[in-house]
Amino acid sequence: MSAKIAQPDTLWGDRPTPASGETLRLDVGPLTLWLKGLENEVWLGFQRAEETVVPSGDTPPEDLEWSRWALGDAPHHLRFRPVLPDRLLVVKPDHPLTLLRRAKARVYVRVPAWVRVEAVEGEKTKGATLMEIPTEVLSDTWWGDFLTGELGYWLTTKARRELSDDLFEPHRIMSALHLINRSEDDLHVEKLALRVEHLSTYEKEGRLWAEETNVVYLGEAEGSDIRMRDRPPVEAEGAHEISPARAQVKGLRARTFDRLRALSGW
Amino acid sequence: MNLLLLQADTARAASQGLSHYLTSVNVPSLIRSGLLLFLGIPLAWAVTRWIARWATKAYSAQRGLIVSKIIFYPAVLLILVSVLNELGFKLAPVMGAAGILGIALGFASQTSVSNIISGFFLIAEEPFKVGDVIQVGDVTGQVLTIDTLSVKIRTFDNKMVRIPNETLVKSQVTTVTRFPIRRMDIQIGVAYKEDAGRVRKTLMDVATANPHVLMEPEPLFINNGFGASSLDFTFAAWAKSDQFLTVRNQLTHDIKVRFDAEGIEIPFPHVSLYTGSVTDPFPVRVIGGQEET
Repeated sequence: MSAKIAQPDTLWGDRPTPASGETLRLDVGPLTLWLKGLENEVWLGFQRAEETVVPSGDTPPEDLEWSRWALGDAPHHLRFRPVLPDRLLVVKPDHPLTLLRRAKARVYVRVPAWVRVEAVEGEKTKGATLMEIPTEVLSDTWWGDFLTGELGYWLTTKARRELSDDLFEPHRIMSALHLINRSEDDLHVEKLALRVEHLSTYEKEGRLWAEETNVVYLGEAEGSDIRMRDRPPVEAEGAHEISPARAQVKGLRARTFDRLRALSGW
Repeated sequence: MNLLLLQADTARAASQGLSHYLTSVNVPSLIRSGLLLFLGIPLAWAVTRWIARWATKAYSAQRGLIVSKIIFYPAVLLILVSVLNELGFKLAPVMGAAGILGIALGFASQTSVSNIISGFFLIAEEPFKVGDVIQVGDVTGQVLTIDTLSVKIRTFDNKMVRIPNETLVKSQVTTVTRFPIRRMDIQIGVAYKEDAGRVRKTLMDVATANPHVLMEPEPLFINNGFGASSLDFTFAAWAKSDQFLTVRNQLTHDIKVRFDAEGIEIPFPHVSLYTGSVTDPFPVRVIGGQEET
């Protein structure tokens, strides 16, 4: 990430560490971050509007739970990056989508970002991660069968086919998915697994985008080929990368789609 | 008198035998034996550690453990045999004696041998790993070590329990933390006047509101039938294994709060007493008073 000073209307970017005795309030979507400086320490606390009543002023609540870090002697600044969640997302469209054989669809999914707070020393480009805070708490879920499945987060979406300005929010990362059904069967998408830990985040004109992803469905037995395109989606041509993927993978084959089926048993 | 002479002869013969043996062992042999013993065993230990560490990293702690035992014990045996050989012991009679001794020891220490062999089975079969939480009989705790003779577990009230390997092979062992997710079954009874559909919806809402309750597998709502004082249900929800207790406590608390808010009654046991016909009033007689009912 290039050193970019955060604009007043956005959280993302670099900011000086609060001076000793100074308290700062930063808001992004439903998340409020409270920052405090004390000697060479940085104190950080947060609240979410969905969980508690966030005070309107610049004074943090008395009972706020703080985390604190002592920084080195060299001057530091804080960097706020939007990152995608740390596990796969099980995305459930409000209305199931069916791709007939050989059909394609481009859908947009808005993913709540996590705020990664880093302390960056002097002119260095890489910082030490202090904390990662989800702007919205997503429910846990399980993807796959009981023996080989994996944990993920649950996200319901409208899986829109078109974009509009009002869809972009400062705490949401727009993910463009290019779905291609290359099997001989219709693909009934009740849910799909979006492996966001492999996606980078881009920014253009204050809008956040996830790396372009192609998902090619090959059949029930074969699974899906997932290709990360290592570039922003065409809708965000010229966007620059602000957060690299958590795990760098350019492609993988995995089970991505799921039809509704009983998993629980008794 | 004769007995004393016999004893003296035996002692003399033994002394001559020992002195003959000692004179037949030369100094280089002693040095070689010493080197074998004092360098060989630490070397075997170091090599074993190195390979075990590699196996642990490449496979698992369990595999590391079994590899270390398979390498170290034979290596030590080999070193001891070499030392005896170096010191001039004829190994054929020693082996013969060892065989007889082995049988004798085997009979005498059946339990220990059984535990050792069971230990190998436990490590190879891997029903649990170090760090797993297991339940054996009425003991539940975290596995600390899988040793040659026993498995040591730490119970949640911080006691150490030693369970012989043989017992584990013979008993039913439940590995609580084997899978990353677990299901909690919460038993709930509501008053007969309540609408089961509303109860179900309320429970599902409570589960959905808690982000640590897994959305899939979906929570189950099971009607267990008509209890003595309540309609009985099982509400089964899933959570990550490492959050199981926390989520169960949260969910139980949230259900009570939500039922109270919704006016859903959780009844305590009712007992109805009848005398004679069930429709007639219960007869009460006031003793010492004027009225009789």
